Amino acid sequence: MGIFFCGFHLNAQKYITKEGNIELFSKTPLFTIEAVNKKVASIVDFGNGDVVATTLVRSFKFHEALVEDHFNENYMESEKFPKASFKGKVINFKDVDLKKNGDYKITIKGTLTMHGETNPVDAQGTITIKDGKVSGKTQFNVSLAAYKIRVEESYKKSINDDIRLSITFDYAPLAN
Amino acid sequence: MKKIYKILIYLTLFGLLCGFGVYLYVFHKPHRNVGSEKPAFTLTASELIKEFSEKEDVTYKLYGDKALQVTGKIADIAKKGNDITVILEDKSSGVSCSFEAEYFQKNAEKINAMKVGDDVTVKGKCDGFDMIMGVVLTRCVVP
Repeated sequence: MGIFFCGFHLNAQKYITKEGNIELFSKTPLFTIEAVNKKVASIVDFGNGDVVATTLVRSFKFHEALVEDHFNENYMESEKFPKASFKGKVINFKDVDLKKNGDYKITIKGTLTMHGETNPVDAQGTITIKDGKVSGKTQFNVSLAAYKIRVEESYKKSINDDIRLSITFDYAPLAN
Repeated sequence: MKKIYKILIYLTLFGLLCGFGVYLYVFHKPHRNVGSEKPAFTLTASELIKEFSEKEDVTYKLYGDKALQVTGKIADIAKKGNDITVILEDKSSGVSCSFEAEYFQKNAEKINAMKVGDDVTVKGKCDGFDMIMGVVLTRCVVP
């Protein structure tokens, strides 16, 4: 029986996207900073809850070119640290029924690595199943200081330490 | 009018103009128009994938944030609203070229005409290399 299943098989539990979305947002009375990254990759395995997400920092696009340059050159130092990645688990993956349409509340725990620093992430999210399609949404804040992102004294009032990340992934089945 | 007042008025106007210029630069500096840039490098998608796969750090230092002109065969096309990504050479880990929605809207015919299997040349800014997405080019144009 085991040998029979060893050949080609479609792992119905693993899902992938290469067109994931992350929006970055920070608002103070002085500035609103917004950026969108539409090149985020993610793989989620509902067999064990494993989830990974990766992106290139330079894929964050700002409305103002100067802000984008400043973000890459001074804050994220994209030359030295080109990538940002998340590795973790959907803690209650067993609650998600891939065959049943609906919104499933999930808890995600893992670590986020960017700018050469790694910190834990603990977030709430939603997995939506609609006619076999899987999408995931989550939102959490990251602290600039925790990632050793240095903001100039003169900008400290204009830029919050807390930056909000809003993440949306529309997954498709991953053929093994 | 007394001469001193005239001078003060002109100085103030000049100062305002300078201020406005600075405002324009800071808040409205146009994004690099990759389309009008001469590519820093011209190469095939296969070459680009090979270089990143074999020596990622060195290749990123060379190509990161530069405009690359890349030729290759379309392996896959991903459409999400007006955001189009064309993947060259390798469907799972090739060269991924993303067109901005604005660019697509102005060049819809040209982009919609692209089919899997076509040989194309694209120009885009190199964001780097990712294990899952391959080589990532954004703000792409068809030169």
